[in-house]
Amino acid sequence: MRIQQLNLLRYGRFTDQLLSFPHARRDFHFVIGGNEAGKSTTRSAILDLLYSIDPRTTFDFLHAKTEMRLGGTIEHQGAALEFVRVKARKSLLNPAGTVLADSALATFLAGVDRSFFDQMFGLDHARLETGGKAILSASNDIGQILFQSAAGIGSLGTVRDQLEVEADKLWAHRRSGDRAYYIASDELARADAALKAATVRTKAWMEARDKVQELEERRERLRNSYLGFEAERIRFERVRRVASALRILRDRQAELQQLGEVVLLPPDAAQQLAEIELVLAGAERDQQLYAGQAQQVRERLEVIRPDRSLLKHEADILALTERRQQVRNHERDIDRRQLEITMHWQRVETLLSQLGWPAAAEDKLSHELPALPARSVLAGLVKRFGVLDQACRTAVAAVTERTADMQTLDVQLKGLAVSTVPATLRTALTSARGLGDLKAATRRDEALVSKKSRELATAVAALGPLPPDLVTLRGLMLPSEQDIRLRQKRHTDAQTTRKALADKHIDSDASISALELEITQYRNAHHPVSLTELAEVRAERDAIWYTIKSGEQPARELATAFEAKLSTADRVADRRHDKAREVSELQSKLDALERLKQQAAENKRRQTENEAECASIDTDWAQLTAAIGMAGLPLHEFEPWRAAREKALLAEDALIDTQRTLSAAQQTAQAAAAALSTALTGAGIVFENGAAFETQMLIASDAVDAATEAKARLDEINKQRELAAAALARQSEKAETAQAEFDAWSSAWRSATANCGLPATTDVAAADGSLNVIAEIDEKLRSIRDIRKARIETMQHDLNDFEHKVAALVSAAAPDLSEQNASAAITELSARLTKALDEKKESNRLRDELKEHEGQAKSANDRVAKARATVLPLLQLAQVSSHDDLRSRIALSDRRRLIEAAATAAQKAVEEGGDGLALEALEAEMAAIDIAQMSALMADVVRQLESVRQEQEALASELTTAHTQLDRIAGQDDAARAESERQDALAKMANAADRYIKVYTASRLLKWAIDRYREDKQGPMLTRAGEIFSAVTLGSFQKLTVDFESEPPALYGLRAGGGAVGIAGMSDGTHDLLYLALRLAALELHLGQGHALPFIADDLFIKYDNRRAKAGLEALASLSEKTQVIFLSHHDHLVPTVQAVFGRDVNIVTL
Amino acid sequence: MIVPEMSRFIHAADIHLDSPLCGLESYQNAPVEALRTATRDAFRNLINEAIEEQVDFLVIAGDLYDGNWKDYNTGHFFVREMGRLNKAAIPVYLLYGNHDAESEMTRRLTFPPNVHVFDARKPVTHRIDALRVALHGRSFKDAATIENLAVDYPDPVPGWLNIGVLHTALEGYVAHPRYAPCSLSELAAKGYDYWALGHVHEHAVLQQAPWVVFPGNLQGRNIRETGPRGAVLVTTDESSIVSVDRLIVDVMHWERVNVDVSAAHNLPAVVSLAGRALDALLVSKTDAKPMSVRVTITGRTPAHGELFGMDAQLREEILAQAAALGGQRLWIEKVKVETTPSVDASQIKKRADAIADLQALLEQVPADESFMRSLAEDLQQLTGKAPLELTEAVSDFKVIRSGDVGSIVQSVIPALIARLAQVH
Repeated sequence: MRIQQLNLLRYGRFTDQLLSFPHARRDFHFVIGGNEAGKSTTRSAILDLLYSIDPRTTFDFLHAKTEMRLGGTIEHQGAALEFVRVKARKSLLNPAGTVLADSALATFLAGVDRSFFDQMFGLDHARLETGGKAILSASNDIGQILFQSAAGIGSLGTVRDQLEVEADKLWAHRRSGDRAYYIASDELARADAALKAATVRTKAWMEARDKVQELEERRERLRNSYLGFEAERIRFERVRRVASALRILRDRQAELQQLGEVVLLPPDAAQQLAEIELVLAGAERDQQLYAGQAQQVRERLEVIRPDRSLLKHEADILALTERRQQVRNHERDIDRRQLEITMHWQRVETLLSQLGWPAAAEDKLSHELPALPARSVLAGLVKRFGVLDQACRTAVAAVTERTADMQTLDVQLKGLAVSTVPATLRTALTSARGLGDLKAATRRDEALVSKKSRELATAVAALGPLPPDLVTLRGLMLPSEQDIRLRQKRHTDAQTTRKALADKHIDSDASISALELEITQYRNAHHPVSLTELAEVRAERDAIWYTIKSGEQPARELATAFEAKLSTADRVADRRHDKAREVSELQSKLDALERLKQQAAENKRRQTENEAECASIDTDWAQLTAAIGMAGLPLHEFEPWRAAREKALLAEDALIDTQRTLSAAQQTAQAAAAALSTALTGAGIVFENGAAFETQMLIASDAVDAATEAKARLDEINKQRELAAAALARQSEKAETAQAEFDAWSSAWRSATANCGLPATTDVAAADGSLNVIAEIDEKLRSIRDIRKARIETMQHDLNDFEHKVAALVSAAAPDLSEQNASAAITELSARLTKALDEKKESNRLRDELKEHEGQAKSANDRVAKARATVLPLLQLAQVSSHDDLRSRIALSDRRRLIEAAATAAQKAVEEGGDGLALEALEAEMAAIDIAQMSALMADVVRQLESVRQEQEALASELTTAHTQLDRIAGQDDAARAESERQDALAKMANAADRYIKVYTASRLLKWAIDRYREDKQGPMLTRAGEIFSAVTLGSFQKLTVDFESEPPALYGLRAGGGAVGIAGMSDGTHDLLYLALRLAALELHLGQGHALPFIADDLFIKYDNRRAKAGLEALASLSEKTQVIFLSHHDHLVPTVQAVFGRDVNIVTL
Repeated sequence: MIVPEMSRFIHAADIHLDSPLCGLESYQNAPVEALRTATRDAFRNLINEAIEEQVDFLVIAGDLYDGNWKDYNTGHFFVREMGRLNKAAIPVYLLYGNHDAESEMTRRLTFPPNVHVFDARKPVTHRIDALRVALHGRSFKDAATIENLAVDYPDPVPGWLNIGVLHTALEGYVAHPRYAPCSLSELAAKGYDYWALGHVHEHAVLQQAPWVVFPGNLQGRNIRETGPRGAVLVTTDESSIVSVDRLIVDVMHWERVNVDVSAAHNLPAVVSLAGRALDALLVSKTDAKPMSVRVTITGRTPAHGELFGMDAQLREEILAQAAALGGQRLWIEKVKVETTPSVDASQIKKRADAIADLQALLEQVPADESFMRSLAEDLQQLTGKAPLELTEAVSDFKVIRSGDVGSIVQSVIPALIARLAQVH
């Protein structure tokens, strides 16, 4: 098949672009177009023309999908077909617009589908590179190289690798933790182990249960044995416990008998008596002791007499003693301060000489020294001098600078020229600019009008044949949407009811038939007897009987017949009785059948009604559509038609609006051009007569821009000059003010230096130094005055006061010391005061001690009396008067109490240890046992008890274990879970195995087939490919060859000089050429046995130089003798090369 | 005569306690833990229903356990559940079937007093005087009981509700072993009111006068047992059956979803269609029970080759769809690809290109005995090491063990060709 013409009617950026591919010996066509010229569009268009427009096409940017349209003429073996391809369900049309069958192209395409066509007959640079890389990656497998080159695929290796990798991940002979099968197998093993561990066999449960039962029986036996031994042990223990107590009880009771009648005194009577006697003895001893001590203290008090006169002046003596400590160093400090005054005065005399002032007395100097206000005024003037001096200098400099600026601006003003344009020109230019790009706007509006026209045509076309024109269409009085909805709902309801009734009719008939069949079968199966049947046979029986009764015939003659009828009637009656249930069932079915038939009749009636309703709806609609001139429009298509009508009317409105806009724009443009031309002439600007509107706009713009710029410059300089003049005035005023301030300062300076006793010629620096010297003199004089007043005079005053007070105290308290100096006198007085204070303290202490002794003596007297009163009740109870008699009675009482207590304790021990047995029973029990043997017997019992206990312990442990074993079997679901996990693992293994079988088989098959493919194809394919390879490598390689000695066999390119180059040794570009050679060779071989289709080469040689491109074109020249070759390119420099290879007449199509 | 009030009983069979669900491969998001003990949980549901509904008695018509299941815990669990019914004063009439007859547990379990077992030596009748109900039945003595047991069942008790309990393959159920065969007409002739049958795992009401009912098994355990499963709740009035209603107690349904991908051109489109089919399945199921779903991809599709090459990815994508749509409710049991290529061998042949050449070569493979033998030997390395249970699960194992792998080769070739033709 070949393409004669391709017409890009509305496709991509093309509209009505016709590409012709006329016949030639070498069917080669060079389609050239620059970048974005539509080369890719053309390639896609060929595919879409032959196989329908791709639903996801991206070539709908200019023409909407619904408008896309391709045309073409194809031919094959003398037959030609011209057709159009549109984007629609029926996409194949003839040039007249009639739909063609989808199979119309079958003869031409010979069943080749789109994918295969693109893969086998399409080649571009990207595929060339991919193919080259695939050859490199498959360099050790000739079969793969040949196959993927021939098939036009570059990823056979990927498929093979995927299969092998997947198979390896699933299973391999060698076990591995990475393989799905073995991972699942390990899970199965774990689940098996878990199942085995969790499964409890019935036998195991029975053994566990039996074990528990046996151990529980043994435990009961041991328990009984233990209880026997324990009872024996308790009896022995009891006897041993109470035997001794029983003997003691008996002995104590005998002793009480012997003791006779005894007065029972309090249990602590002896203790009471002893305590009273002890207290009495102590109290009497204290009476004597404290009386003696009181007397001794009184005697010592008599001899102590402290000096009361000194004690009266205690405070004064202590204060003066303290004062003496304070004034002790005063005389030495006064000498030191006098020395300091002398040093300060010497410094003052030095400073006076620096000022050149004569020496003077201290008081005179203090009086004559300049006062602080005068010195402060002078210091202020010193500080201010710098500021005033700087201000004067700055002001003068600024005045000079501003004056120079003014002169410069005046010069610039004189040199500036001014030009102007009239306002009419400015107005005309502004109006023209406001119109924007007139040409572009007009083109846009025209395109819009064109588009709206097409939209209107499309919208009108969508209306179908009704009605004839838009005016009529607009004037139609259509039924409302509500009306249409109601009609549609009524129609739908009627149709739904019709279907439901029809279905019901079918179901009803089927049910009736089924029930009738069931009744027939039921009758055949059960033979129920109806009441009518029974009545009939009874009537026959009764008829014979009536005949017999009437005597019409002898009874003997009719007896046999009667018996037969009687028997039949009874049998039928019995059968009816026996089959009563079946009869009832049959009747039930018959009733059901009748009901079904009634329902069927009712359904039929409703069907008739429904049919009438449907007809009524259709009639109403037909009348309505006829009334509005839309006869024949189906109800369900009315709303879509109404929508299409609305769309058409809107499209018409839009078109009118667009046309009006275009017209208005054109008129505005003309008016603006005329106004601009007039304004230019009025402004005296000369321009070429008939100059275009845009040229006039440029001239006007230049004139206006020049005038505007000059005016702006003049305004700017004037503004700067005004600013400079104002600045000069301000600076002059500032300079005058600064000079006046400096003059005032000079006057003040002269007055201030005179006030400070300095010469009038003193400059600022000298005055500053003199002020510092005067300040130091002043400070030294102040220090001398301070030392004298605050320190020396104060200390002298303290010394005089101390001596005066000491003299007064000595005169009052110790006249014998009046001859001593103040310090010695006060020291002596202090010593005497200390002694007097000590004596006073001792006297007070002795008085306190005397008072305490007297109190103690009185207390001792009270205790003696109390003790004697306490013993009196005991004496009375014992009926004695002396303490000795009382002690004898107490001893008797205590003995009786002791015996009674012992008897009571023994009885209590017997009761406690006798386990509740009576005294007699215990005595009998004791009598029955040989006490001497009891220890041995008891030891034996304890041994046996221990033996049983140990056995019980062992049994308890065993029983616990057995219970644990049994309790483990409690209905757990561990085994069920383990089994579930087993099945899980088995499922995984099964899935892995299932998939492995398929994948491994596929992998093996592919390898086998590729090997066979190589064996079959390598001969012819490599021969032809070698020729092409030699050509496209410009003879660098002579041919392709296979080295069968290597394993696996390897492909080589043979150099002209005889050297062989393996795939790995070739460059990337050579790989691409090899792929091209193999691909073209395979295509030629294919064309030898398959259906020929056009070969579409898309910019194959973009990286080749002219020589190599020519070689490539020559390879395609050979191919073009077998099939049509359409070569798309954006390299126009290839045109001469193409013409060199294919001749000057080669078909070159420019996009 | 005392007329009993309306009574109700549950008829269950084929419980197969603790037998596993087969063919389910766990993966993330699958409701694994919820279904590990499915048969046990379904049985527990049954007992809960019996107690909540306060039924008058429960009939179990055989195959309480699996014959080869050895864990005594299962029996213990059953006894415990029977104890719950005992507390609720609900008697149980238990008949052993072919699986129970093989079980050691059958002979050793000690039941609570509410459990009444049908003797295996001869047919017996259990009477419930208060309800005027007579249950006739005979347990299997051996697993391979192939004689007609029904023939010796006693006559009905006049005026009572008579129930025949029987574990039987009946006639015509060729999918099940033909144990205790008998005919429907034979059963009808016995004069009983209700036949409580077991053995056939599909629920079926074979007849209504008298009622002959297979309740089906309690829980579907593999992809052959699809749809809801459970027992039946029978309501009686005086001495006749009023109604038989299904009682669905299973914890998971098995479902099959067939996805026709004829219109799909690639894997994403196939996955999308599968997702829609799963969504439709979920929408159609009003209960919230988990489902184990086998997704079978069918149709003559251009994606055939891609599906063959992307099997693992297809499965993962469908699992993701299931997780997104059903969360823990869907468990994809298997994704079976049963598509055919949209371009058949004759169309490939017409292309006359390298793919066509390869197809022509592959058609000659079966004649290459050396290759076929080598392939069979390689595959036998897999089958030789596999556990016996896999032979049932992987149908190709039997083929490989036979040494003739021609059918495997023939099934793979079209997929391989489609895979290569679809690669660009």
